[in-house]
Amino acid sequence: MKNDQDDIDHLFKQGLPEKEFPEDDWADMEHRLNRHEFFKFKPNTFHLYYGIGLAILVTAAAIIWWSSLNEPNTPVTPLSVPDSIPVLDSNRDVSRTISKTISGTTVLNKKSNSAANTKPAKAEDTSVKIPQHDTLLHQAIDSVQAETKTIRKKKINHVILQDTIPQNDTVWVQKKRKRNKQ
Amino acid sequence: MNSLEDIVARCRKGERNAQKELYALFAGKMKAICYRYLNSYEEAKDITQDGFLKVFDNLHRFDAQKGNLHNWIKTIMINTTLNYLKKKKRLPIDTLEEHHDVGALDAEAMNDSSRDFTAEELEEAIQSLSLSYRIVFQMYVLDDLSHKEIAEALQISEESSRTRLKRSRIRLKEYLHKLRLSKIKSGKMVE
Repeated sequence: MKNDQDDIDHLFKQGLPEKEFPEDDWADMEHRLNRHEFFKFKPNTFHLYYGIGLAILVTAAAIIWWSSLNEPNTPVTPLSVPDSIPVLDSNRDVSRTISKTISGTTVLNKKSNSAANTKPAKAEDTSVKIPQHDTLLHQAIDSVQAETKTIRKKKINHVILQDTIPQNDTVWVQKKRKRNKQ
Repeated sequence: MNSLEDIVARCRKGERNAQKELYALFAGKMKAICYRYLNSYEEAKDITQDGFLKVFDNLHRFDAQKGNLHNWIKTIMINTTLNYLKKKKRLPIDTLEEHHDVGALDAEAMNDSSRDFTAEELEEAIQSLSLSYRIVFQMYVLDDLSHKEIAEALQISEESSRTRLKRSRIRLKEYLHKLRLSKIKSGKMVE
């Protein structure tokens, strides 16, 4: 049995001489070798690739930040003040004017509002008395009121938006604490 | 002409000319070895190049006192080929096909198939084996690897390697016996 095994092994070993494919394909191999060496892990090249990657990331982050800075803000519609309305210094004056209108008469001082406040007697002399049911004046007052309301609403919305994030945060933290306790 | 030691030393430094010389020395033979396992020239060429990339990467590990370079490169090529076959799922890990009882063959069949066959006929006989048997036979008989090395490479037990070799020998004898009979019938072989 052992001889049979040796026979068959010998037969195939002798009968099948070592073949050779003498084709010269070094160019193909060299191309492959170059590619392999380029992607091969080496400490020095790794640092180089790491540096390049980091630089690309930092540049990208800087571009994103810069573009977000230059982004135009949401346009705010300017207040349209009708011509018939006298020039008012601030919202405070407007509200005062409105309250006076509601009480009966409106006092408009073209020169100075503060002067009207300090010297009421004189102011009454110089001011022009406007009838209570003057439609033009009421329209103007209504429009001013509407504008002030929208401005206040915008301000309130802005404040709410700013407050929501920390509020949510605290809720989230509270939930987390509850979970941890459980 | 540079000596092999010199070429190896220069390859270790990464000299492209030395790598070219080493490739020219061994690529043809290694392609033939890979071809025997894969039975496709294009695949054999591809795997040989893959194997040489490993050779160049690991040449610093080669110890000339432990063995010769040819066998070292051959082992790398065989392992690369086997890994490729495993990846392609063409290599069954540990499946043994139905086997023939040794006693089923008569004594004549065992004895008369030992000579008078051409290299092509012997090649055909090997190709007639299933892949799991063929690989073990090639590794043991043609590439001179031990059962231990075969078992490690194929991830099978040494016993399994021995069984496969035994069965592959029986099948080859059967094949050659049939071939011999058909030759006698056609008058190509004189008894």
